[in-house]
Amino acid sequence: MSDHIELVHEAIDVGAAYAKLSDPRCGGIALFVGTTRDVHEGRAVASLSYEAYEDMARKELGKLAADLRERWPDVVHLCLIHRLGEVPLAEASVLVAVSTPHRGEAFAACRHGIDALKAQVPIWKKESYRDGAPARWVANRESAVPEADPPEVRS
Amino acid sequence: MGLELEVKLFAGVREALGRESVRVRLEAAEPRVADLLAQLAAEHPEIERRRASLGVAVNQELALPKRALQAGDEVALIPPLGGG
Repeated sequence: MSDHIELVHEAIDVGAAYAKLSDPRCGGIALFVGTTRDVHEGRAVASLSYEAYEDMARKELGKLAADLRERWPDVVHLCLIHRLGEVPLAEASVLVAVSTPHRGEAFAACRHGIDALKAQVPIWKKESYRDGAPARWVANRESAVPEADPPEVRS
Repeated sequence: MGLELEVKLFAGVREALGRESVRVRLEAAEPRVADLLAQLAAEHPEIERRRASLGVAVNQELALPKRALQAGDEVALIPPLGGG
């Protein structure tokens, strides 16, 4: 059993993560890769970058790993990886993956993992736009720190 | 008396203040997270404007407004999260 938790400043190596999950005890691997999209609310995105409160983010990812193991004790290996800094369009910004003896737990744990990561881990995303509109920090709907109404004044 | 803390800043609030952290002095006898936010908002209009959308982490955990603060605590303002 292994927990692989990482914040990286370069491309996420999906093959290397997969290799860490592979195990003869497992009947399946669920591997979710979140990638950077070129459109947000109808506007063409020029570039994205991520910033983290790194020490706290590692701690929150560790708590999330423990929570996944408590909810799905059959999880054998798990990977939680987030990329920071500028992420070119269409590249991986986040990877959440688990290996389990049976596929049901793999899908459920992986789904919960990405949802909880978006809600709890102190990471922020800044989008800049092709039309020259001001760049802004985009909040997740799931965020544990809710965005107040009227929306946060963005720089 | 009084408690002086260095508060870490991230994302939009970091950019708005143009720095990575800000010092704050709290005079309350038993200062809490709510006092910290009130003092920061009073000193910095950029924080006042965002106040309703800011969480506070104490020692790397999100804290409730009633959470007591003490010397040596690691404190950070946490804007709405955007990871993923």
